[in-house]
Amino acid sequence: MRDKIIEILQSEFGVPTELTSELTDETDLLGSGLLDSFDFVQFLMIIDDIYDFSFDFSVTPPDSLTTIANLNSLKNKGKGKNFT
Amino acid sequence: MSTFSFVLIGSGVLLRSTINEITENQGCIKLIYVDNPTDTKRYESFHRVKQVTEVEQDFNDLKAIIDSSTWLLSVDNKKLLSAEILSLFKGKALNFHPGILPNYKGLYCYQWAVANGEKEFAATIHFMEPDVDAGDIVIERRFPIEDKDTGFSIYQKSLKNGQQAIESVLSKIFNQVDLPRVSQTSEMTNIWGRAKPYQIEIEWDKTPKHIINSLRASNFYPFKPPAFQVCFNGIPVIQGEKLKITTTELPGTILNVQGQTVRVAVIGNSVIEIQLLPIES
Repeated sequence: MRDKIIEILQSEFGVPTELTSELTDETDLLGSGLLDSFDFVQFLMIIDDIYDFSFDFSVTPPDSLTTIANLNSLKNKGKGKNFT
Repeated sequence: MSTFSFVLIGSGVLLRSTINEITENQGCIKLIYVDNPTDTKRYESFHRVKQVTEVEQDFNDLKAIIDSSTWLLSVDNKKLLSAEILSLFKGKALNFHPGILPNYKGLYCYQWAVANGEKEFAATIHFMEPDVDAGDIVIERRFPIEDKDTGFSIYQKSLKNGQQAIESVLSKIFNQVDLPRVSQTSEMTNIWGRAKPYQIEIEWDKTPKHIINSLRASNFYPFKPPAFQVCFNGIPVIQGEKLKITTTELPGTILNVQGQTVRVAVIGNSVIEIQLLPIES
């Protein structure tokens, strides 16, 4: 999942390789400024499309989804379906 | 080879899925108008991309590139297009609108619908006319607004439903099926937008339900709500809930403050607990 997220950040949001190479599982994608608020919502919806998380912001607020670790924990809880 | 071509205007995830859908169906994208740098970077290597602000000056350019097979698709676009530009497409102009028409025209309807205590919302696609969100409705995907929903969650759901609505409409276009047309007949027409003033203090003399609805509507945390921000003594409120306790204090009386959490008396002897936005040090 980490590799896919990095690929999305680079291809969809133009995040340069030098920044994605420093990305840890705990990096706050929003708080670090890697994505702005507009891009972050798009990012979550793209992740949702790919992994079929069926995010519902009324249940899972976006601020709880800002790190790869958080997204991975959803995966580990079996919330998504299409994991690669 | 597809016989259909498109001019797109919009932004974000809906623009992205529209482009993907057209590409998968071998449609031709002649021009994309975007309103932000991310979308510019994302598409300029593969498509001709211009800024939304340029569209009204592009009459001759558009006239030169469009033909009778060209559709204009407006997806998550906030710019109103002139009659002159729309006339170029000879009725083949569609807009995605998050909201039930004609009661919820304009901007940020997802936030206003929650504030107004509506029970359902819709992702709507309609033919475009020069007026705000006017024109016959092609498809309306309704979904419920539940008590747990916020302005933000309804926005998200309208985008998801919008993706499916766009997919359905494009499928009809590519299969040369006539698009349905339902006129907007209701007399209840409202045009919504950004509130003035943007920051609204909680009205403690309103019913608990009214207060909770306005707090849910204003909850876009961690982002700023687009239409209005509900505040408590000038501090933005993130969320609130009605507690299962009662009080005999007058509405608006502060009962308890703990950090960013405040309990306030409301009418009907009820108590509402609100969470304030942490003040950055």
